[in-house]
Amino acid sequence: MDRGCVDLQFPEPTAMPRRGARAASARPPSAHPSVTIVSAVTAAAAPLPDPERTPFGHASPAQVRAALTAEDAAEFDRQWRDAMARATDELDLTEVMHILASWRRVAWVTTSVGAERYRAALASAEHRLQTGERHPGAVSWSQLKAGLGLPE
Amino acid sequence: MSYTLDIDPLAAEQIAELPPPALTVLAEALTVLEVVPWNGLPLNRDNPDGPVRQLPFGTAGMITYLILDDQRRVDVLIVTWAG
Repeated sequence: MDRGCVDLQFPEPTAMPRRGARAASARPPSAHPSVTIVSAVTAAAAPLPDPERTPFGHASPAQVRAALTAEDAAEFDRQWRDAMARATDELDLTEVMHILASWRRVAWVTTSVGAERYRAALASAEHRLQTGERHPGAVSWSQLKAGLGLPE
Repeated sequence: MSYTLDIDPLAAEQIAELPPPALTVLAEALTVLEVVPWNGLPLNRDNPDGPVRQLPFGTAGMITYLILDDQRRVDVLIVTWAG
């Protein structure tokens, strides 16, 4: 399949101005990718997840919160309260809906692997971010692909 | 310059259980990650440039991954499929 030009923008706009967003960043100054590219990855654009087919696709805020780890639930509460306060002032629920969409993804992934494995995966990622080490059990995608019989 | 992809044991286990159609779209999505991993969604909206990100694939899949930019490496942490 060759679509020539692939729009790699994902469903949730991330450029919406938000007050109070943390400045923490690991992205280098030079890495500001365009959301649209024309390249050899033309066949790589994946369709967007269908909320009708994915768990938590239409989950309520309470359902999302109940599925999160305790630490994520605390962060969800903070973001939700801040956004709701702004929505009340500005009569605009857009940011609230974006936050809910974001946490629905987290709730889905958390429940798919279980809270403990999810927490462990993120803790391991944080360790690797600090040390640069590889996961001791990691395999390269090219190795795994070959093992699964997928073409290079 | 593209990124190398490392697959965590948990993700490898999940990938091995994917049905063939899902595996195909996952492979396409990982090709995207090799080129533009920063285009994924931040795990935490309040840290929009954070290195732990998510990329949807297919109609019911999600890749959660870590970018180690200084090594030009992407570690795939979790592969979720709801199909």
